[in-house]
Amino acid sequence: MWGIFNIVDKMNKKNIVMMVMVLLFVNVVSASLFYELELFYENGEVEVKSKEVIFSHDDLTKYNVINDYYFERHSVGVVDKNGKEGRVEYGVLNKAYGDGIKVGVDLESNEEELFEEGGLEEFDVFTFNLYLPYSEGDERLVFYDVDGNEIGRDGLEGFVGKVDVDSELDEGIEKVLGKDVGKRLSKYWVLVLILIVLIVVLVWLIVRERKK
Amino acid sequence: MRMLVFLYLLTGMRVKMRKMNIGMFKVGKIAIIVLVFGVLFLVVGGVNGQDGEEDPELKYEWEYRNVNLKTNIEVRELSGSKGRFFFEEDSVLKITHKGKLGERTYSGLEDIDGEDSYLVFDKDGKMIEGEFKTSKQGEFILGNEIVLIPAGSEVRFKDGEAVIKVSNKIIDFDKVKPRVVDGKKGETAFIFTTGANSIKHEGLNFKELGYYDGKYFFPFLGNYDEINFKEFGFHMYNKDKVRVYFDFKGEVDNSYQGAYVSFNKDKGVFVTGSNVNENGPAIQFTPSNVYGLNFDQGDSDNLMIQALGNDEGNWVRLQKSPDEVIRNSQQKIVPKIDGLNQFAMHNNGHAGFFNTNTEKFYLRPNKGVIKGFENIPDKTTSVAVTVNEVKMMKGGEETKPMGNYKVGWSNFNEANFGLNSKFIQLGTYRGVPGLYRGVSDLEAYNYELTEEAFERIAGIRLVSTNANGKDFIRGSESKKNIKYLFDLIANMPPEQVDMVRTINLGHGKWAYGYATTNGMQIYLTVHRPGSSAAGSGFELSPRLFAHEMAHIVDYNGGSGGFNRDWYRSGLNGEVTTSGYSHKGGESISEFVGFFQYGYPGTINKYMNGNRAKSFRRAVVIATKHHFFTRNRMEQIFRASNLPYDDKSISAYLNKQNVGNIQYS
Repeated sequence: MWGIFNIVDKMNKKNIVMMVMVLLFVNVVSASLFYELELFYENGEVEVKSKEVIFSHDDLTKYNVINDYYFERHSVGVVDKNGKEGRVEYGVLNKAYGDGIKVGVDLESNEEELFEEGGLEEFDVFTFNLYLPYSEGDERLVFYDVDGNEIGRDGLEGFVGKVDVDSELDEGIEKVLGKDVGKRLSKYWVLVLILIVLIVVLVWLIVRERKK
Repeated sequence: MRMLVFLYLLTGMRVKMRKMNIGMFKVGKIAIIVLVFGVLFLVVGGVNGQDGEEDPELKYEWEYRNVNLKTNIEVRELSGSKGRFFFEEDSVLKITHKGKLGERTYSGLEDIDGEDSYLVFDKDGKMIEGEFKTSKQGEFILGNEIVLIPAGSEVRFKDGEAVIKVSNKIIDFDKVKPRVVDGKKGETAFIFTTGANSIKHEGLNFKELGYYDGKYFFPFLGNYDEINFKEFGFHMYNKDKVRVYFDFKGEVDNSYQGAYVSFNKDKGVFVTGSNVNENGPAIQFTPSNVYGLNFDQGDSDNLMIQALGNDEGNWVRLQKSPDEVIRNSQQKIVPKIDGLNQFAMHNNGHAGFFNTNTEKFYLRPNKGVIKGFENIPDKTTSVAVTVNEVKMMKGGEETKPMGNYKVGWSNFNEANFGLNSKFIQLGTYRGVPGLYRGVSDLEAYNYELTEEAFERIAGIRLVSTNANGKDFIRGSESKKNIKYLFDLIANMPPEQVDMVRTINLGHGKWAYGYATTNGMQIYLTVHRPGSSAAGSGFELSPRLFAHEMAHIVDYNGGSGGFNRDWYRSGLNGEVTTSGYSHKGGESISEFVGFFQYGYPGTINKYMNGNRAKSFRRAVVIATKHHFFTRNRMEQIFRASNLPYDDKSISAYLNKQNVGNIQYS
């Protein structure tokens, strides 16, 4: 128990601070990862066009709008290695309003009737994004329609997505490491590697101290 | 005496060496070195020692309460219990203090401009007055403080003030500065002056430096009334030539008995105060300031502050603001000013001052209030800053007469009062009654009117879909247009802004406006540059903007349950403002487009017309679901001569009768 304090004394304070920062930072990164699925929808069928793991400070799941007035409510099951499934509901976002301008309207007037043609459009074929919280043990996705019937599956085994790191994370990494360690995917893995190296060094120092 | 010191030192060395267990050979060597130095010490001491000075015949002796005074001075004046001693070439005055101070001899004092030097002592033997010139460096006790006075200095000491004119040779003030003899409060204000900037203190060079009871001050004795502090980014004007204390702490200090400035580079804080009933100096900040003020290059930006003095305490403070996290990104915030009791400030076209008598803060356009600076430059820009808090002392209690109101200054020579420093409303855009220009404490809103800054602050991506859109956000008018976009979103509830992810500007395949659930994007037509789309004078119609934004809120179900409140309650059929309103979900967007920016007269017509109860309810429902800000809702009810207290709002929701009221 006391050995560790000796080691801490001996270690360069700067390195310790840096290590703590990296540990905290990686924690933050893990807490803000999401799957971004681009879903192709065609007459009730859903297909995953692409999937990525992205980082965001924002809770991206807020963009999975559920509004029964406008959108059919579907759900997706996220199944982990043990077969445990967590369901996430989402609206099938296939609507748009188009507003056409009235011919000859006086644009300087703020109160004249502005639009004449347009209104709600509903699409049978379209793509939209779905956001799911990321978890390392996830194995597959199961899609369900409005009645709860399975309409598609997609695997997550060995998922190596494109980690989309936003600019603030870029800055954070530069601050922690003092240099740009690359973009997107490489940044996340470099952090993980650094974490592993730091843990190995720490363990080695503790063992060496105990032997003494 | 010196021999005793030497022996003592030698003994000490031997003891230490023994403790250190140094070998005999080394001990011998060290002992020789000490011996040689000791001899030199004694020889030099013997040559230069004051103890051995010739002691002229001091035939006059005076016994005071605390001192014994021996002198050879014949010319002296005795007035009551005071004694004035005039010095000639070989005059000597030896004072023996009865306390710990011991003996002190004053000699070699020269005449000043043909007038004999003199010293005056009170009945206790304390020097209370004197005029003399030193021929050699020495310590003098003036009042109750010992001060080291360099050779060739002229000293004029009277009424608690000692002006010491030293030569132009560099002196380190921290070595000569006075120290009290009895551990009590300093009584004398010392002013050191030179012909050059040769007085050093805290790494700075001074031409004049004052010191009183542990505090430093600018005495303003010379023929000048302003000082430029380039390194600290300010200029001090002191028309009344009051004594100005200073320190480098950047803190409010009520212990100064007078005006003061306290500034700190690292903290980015500047404080000026006046704890007496007289004005402090006027401070003008410069582009090299370290307090976060942003000056436009090549413009005559002019920010000044002045504490107007109050014996209950008075200060005005300017300080850097910490960054704030807005929509998950760090945003720079313009500096803040706060103050206690009356103060004045100038910021280009607007002067501001707080009056403790009326307990009000005044904004005065185009005329200065700081003495000597009445004609303030009225340029196109100013320095963005926020007066964040104003306090005053009232009957010994600290009060906040402005409550939570702030005063915001933009970079564009605009200023106003408001509660939300992120957007303090100014007037409206021409022809668009509900679209307010604003002042914001966001640095970017003032100085970084770019596409990137908008995206960062709004959390909305900007995309240009054709040349018009590109010109709008990147062309020659882009700064004006980005500010317009900032104002458009600032007039909307933040929750609404958060629902939209992308604004596409230009003209796509859709005729005018488009709001799609695919990525929660809106598309807005931008007219060709110079072709105004609406009363705003901009190529982008604000009504179209509000209309499309409302579609996105509708998709999201407002704050939750909007369908129930609007569609299922039948409100959508009752609240129609155009023929287009009858097209399903266009009802809410048309209503919002009209009511967000409509003329008060038109709004009044709906709110007090045939379907008044439905429209009143619609306004409350739309506010609840983030289509309008609370502020906009209140403006709508005011425009309709209707109350907007909680009871009335509840009545509107229940479609009950609420009578009109007359606003003043």
